[in-house]
Amino acid sequence: MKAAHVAEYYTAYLEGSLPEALREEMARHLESCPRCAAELEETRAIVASLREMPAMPLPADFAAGVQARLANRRHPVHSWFTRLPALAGGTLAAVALALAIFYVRPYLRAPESRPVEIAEQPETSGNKEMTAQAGRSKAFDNLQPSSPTTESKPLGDLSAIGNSDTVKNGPEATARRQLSGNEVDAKEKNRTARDLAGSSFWNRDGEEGGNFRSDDVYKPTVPRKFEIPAPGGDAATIAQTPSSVLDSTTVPPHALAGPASAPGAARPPVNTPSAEAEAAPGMGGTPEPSMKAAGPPALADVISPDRTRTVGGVYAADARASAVGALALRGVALKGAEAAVTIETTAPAPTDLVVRAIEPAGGEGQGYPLSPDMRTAVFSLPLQRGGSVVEITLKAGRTERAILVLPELGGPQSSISLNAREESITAVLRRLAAAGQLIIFCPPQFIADREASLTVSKESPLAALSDLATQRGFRAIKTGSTVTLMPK
Amino acid sequence: MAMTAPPAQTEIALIRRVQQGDAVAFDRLVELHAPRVYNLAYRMLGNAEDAQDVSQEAFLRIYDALPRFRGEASFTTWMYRIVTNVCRDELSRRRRRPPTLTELEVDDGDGAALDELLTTGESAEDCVLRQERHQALHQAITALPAPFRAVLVLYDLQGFSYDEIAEMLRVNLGTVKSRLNRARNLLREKIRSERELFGIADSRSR
Repeated sequence: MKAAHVAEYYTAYLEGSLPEALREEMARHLESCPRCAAELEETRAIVASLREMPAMPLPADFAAGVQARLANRRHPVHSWFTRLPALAGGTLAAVALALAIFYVRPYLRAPESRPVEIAEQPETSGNKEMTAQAGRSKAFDNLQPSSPTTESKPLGDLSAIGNSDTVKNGPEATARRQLSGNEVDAKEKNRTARDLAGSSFWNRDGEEGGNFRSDDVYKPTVPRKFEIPAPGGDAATIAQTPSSVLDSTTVPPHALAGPASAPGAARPPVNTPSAEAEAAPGMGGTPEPSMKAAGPPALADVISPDRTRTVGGVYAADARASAVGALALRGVALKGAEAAVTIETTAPAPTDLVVRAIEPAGGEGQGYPLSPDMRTAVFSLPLQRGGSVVEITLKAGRTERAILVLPELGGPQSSISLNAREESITAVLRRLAAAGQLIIFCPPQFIADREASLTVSKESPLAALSDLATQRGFRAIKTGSTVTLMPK
Repeated sequence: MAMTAPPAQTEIALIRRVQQGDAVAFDRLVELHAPRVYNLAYRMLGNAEDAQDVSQEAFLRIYDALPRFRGEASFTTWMYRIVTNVCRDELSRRRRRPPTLTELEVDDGDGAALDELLTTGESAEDCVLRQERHQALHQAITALPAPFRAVLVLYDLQGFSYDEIAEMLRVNLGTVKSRLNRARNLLREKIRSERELFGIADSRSR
């Protein structure tokens, strides 16, 4: 019996299900062939290990999540019913109008008015958009950009998808849209969100301001201009168009939306670049002291202005943040020498969301609240040579921390492109790690000690973190570009 | 991974109630099967987030399909066919993503390692070794081609029989067996570099 053939029978041999003759032949072969004998033993050991693998604990909110998804799907029907009185009212009004017209008809030259249809006619896509927007809350409207192109150029290639996905035109559809964007089929939304890749996410979460549950992804993206206050006081202006959102060279539009693009009174004031040392006023006065540091190197020292290089763009969103925690990374967009980190939180009052570079200590990221309730904010941080380690802390009810390792400026990884999908922070981090962008989600005790100094020099931040972990009594298991920290 | 199926009687009663529109009964069905379904998705997809997403989605499909369940197959087999299909859809959707993206576990083991250390009383070294072994296996499983992975997970981790797996995946019994053997061989190759974790000496002369 040849060795190549024996491997076919390991499982059957171990189970004792080989026909007698074959089993004997194999036993003879194993006696004379240490290699096959060793492989068989390995297989036996692996199978034993497989059997002892523990079950992963079910997330605590799993069943609730299923119920919520089911409820979301049922909701449209429900909303139709809840709208019945309104619809009935509308119909009554239409009938009244019809009667009125009927009575004045003899006096009209063109009596073909069709009042009922006027009342319930499916709109054109443009109207639809306006109708949908009309139903939103004031606070929500305040987030809408004042761009004159909002209605004049509302639908790019998104419209087709939005329309085809948005179910039926008609009174119910209109009513639903008027009622709320939340009541659209959740499954449809997810699918649409995925299909639309990056654009709708950023558009959506910028406009809807940090409500994880508000998911109207059908809104068109409006070309806008955004200002990025650079650490050195420079301001880079990026024109953002819907079609370019997926382009890895761009920064998500809402993530960088400054006050200029948000006329609403509800938006809290935004830091100016000169207010670098202060916490973002919108974030309610961060209790964490500003990291004392050598300060970020001047932009020109790090990179020559004529060589503004795109490191990559990462887009992600989290619709299941509650399942993950109170802190969710909505995205990291790298542009030139800066990273824009968008964070969203489910906490009721995230008054102390702090994003700061802990190594090299580059001060706190400048936060730009994106929503009236301050649930979404973008922090801009300079990218450094050798990469930087950023700590994100939220203390609102519960403490949650994440360490985000930003890639090295000019590092070997020149771009990452991720499709925007509904993902959790952990999934995003994992992807970034997988893509060589060195992101680690650390156990809190690892970063509890703020006094520690991390040395990140020529080595990658990952290696530095790994070393530090070892010093701190953790066992760092390196797998590819990921380090898993375990107690020693 | 020892997980037991719920008693058949309870299950049948629940299914009937769901078919009659009892939402609470469906919640109960989810409760009964969620741990196993979630773990299947976890091993198939490689990470907790996707596992949750996909297994919740699978339950929605099960809910939709339940009115059509007539009991020709066992409910578990029928249900797992749906679950494996949803996993397959997710995996094929992933293939369409940029090729640089591979799934890697980052931290899912950390909390578990700590918890186990606190509760099992085994030595820290053993605990870490075991964790590493499981982590190595998990990554190797995730790297298996999906058809092999499915059979291996269903058989070795979830404890289904060849017949059940054949019915779930709609393949021959022979295919199930040969895939399992092939999957184990592939797994062995993949963890060759970490052989010492499994207490296997490198005695072979190659």
